[in-house]
Amino acid sequence: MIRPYYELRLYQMQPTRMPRFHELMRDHVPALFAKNGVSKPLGGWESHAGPFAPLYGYLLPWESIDARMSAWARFYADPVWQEKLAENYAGAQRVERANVHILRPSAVWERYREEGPTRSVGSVQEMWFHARTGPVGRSEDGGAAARLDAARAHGAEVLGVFDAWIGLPTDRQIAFLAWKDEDHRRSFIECESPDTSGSAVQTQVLLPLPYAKPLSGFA
Amino acid sequence: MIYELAIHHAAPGALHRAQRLLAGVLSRAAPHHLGLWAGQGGAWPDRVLALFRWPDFQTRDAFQNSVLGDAAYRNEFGFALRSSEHWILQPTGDVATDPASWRSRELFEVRIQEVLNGSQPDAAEAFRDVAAPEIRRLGGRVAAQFDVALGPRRPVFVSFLAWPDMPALQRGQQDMDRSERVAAQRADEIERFGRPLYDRPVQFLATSVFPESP
Repeated sequence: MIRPYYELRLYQMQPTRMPRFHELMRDHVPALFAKNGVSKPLGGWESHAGPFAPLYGYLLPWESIDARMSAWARFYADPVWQEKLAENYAGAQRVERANVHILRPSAVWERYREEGPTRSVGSVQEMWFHARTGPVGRSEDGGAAARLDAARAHGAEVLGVFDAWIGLPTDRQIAFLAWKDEDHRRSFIECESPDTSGSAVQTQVLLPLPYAKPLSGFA
Repeated sequence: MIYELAIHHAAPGALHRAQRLLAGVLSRAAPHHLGLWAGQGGAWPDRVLALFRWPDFQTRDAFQNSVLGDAAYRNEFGFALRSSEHWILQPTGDVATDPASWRSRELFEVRIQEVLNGSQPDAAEAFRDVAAPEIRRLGGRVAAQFDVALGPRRPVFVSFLAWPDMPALQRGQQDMDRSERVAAQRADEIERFGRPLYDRPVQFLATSVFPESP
């Protein structure tokens, strides 16, 4: 089911401080999210290849931004969260910079959606940031679509495509892909035709978290 | 209340065209629209900034959807603007509430600064107790300071300062740079946190596109 809003949280981690952060996010945060009304993540990743590395990231669905703001306010005020955070951090920061973006589903996403039961997807995953030239809001034109089509022809599965709404330039499209393996991803990179749409792209290669693996279509 | 900062990046040579486009659109956002500023120099001379105060996101998104659905706006956007970016802000202290505070003929200095993560309360306190009084003593005015709630590279603080004019800004910041109080605060931060709480600012110098009558 496609939701009206998505929240992409990209934490640029302090080097060497990632491992125990997983304990916090895996063992304590899910129950605190549920208790305070924060949505269950649709996927979570670690990454050491791309502009945000070392990265811990996850994607949340929302019905409204007002609901999102209330839920996070409750979460941050929860004394159990404050206790677990202090215990885990042990006096030193783990996150250096937190990029918090609100996204909306792109019209382009529809063309990649499949009917049928949800299933697991390839473990080599990628996040693309496309910067278009031209007017804002023309999600159906240019941007990621041409490149996504080419990636699919090389075996990639499109998990979701989003338009930036808050926190990123609104000409950005963000796409998530899953590859069967690294060989398929490399074959796409080596065969890709030059992009003539005038758009620029940045990519982050993602390692799905064992406790937050995304499913097909971000179901 | 929800505060929103919209950062519009003008196309090359199109700053005035971008101002006209955005002034036309933002007049439809009243009474939620606080101010609109056009770049005069600094790191972002080709940006136009807008500040809003919304009662909720439903109202905010209804306005945003109406803008994006406007064919004339979309067409003109392609000529006047490269991109737009929207951040959601939370005040760290008092915010000037008089609309004239945001639409004065003063020179606005918008400082966007990354802050040491986990030390936001200390950074807000240092601004309130040391920097803001010094700015006022030196002839400037603090309209507000905000913490970016939704946006990139958080924690980031956005400070809106107003100076009578460019010479006043230069003199004021020159004296800030020589202020013993500011130097002592900085030394204290380095001792307590191992580094200053604020990184170097992205400094945006701008004038209001909707100045109130003098």
